[in-house]
Amino acid sequence: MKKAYKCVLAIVNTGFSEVAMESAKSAGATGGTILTARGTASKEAEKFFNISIQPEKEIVMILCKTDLVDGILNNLYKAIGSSTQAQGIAFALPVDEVCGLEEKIKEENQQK
Amino acid sequence: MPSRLIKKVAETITKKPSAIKEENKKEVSNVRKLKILITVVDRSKTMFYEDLLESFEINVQMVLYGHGTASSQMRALLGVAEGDKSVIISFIREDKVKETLEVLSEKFKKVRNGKGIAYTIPLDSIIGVAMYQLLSNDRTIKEGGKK
Repeated sequence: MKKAYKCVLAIVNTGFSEVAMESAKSAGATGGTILTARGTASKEAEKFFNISIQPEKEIVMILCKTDLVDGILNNLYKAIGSSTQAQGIAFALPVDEVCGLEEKIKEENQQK
Repeated sequence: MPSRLIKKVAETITKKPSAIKEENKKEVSNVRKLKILITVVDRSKTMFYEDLLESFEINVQMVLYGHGTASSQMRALLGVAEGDKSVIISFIREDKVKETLEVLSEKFKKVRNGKGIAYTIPLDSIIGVAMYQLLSNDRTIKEGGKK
């Protein structure tokens, strides 16, 4: 069964959460929450891939409708992908039940 | 003793695979699935929602501090005072989800500055029976899903 909502998480270097949010908004996301975090990576992997991992990270958490997810991830890939300074990764998680969303409340009211 | 062991082995071998599957199913059916419940609320209301979640047999909660991304215009429109948010990550038993979300939904509407969102993410596996007992608030479950 296709779930109505998904949770998109984007992990980016500090300072790039706004860029991530803007690109997600341009694909139809209405809002999100920004969390601060610290990244870790093995020193060997850093040397091997010739990249440096900035430990300070920001996580952008966006709850959105399933049909918007592809567009959001596509925009995120372009704006904060590994080829950019944001060095971001983004993924979507399945969501079972949702409550408190403005659009869902409106839908429920219309059904009544 | 060896004869009893041989008898048991013979019994297991002669058992139909479907019967074994059914037995395993019975054992696992005692285990109630867990889900991750994520609640995003205004930071000033963190304690209120933590206490509320605790009343639904939620033993473990983690609070992360973050901030919302809604513009100031949108915040004024929705009546949200600040941008600072708390993300409460908790583990909830599947049978408690409906009831919890109903109460949360009610509180999101009625409590002043208590607006927020909540959603559940399915959880596939977990390490340790003790950890499962803690997260599900069910101490009767033993290893292998037996009561």
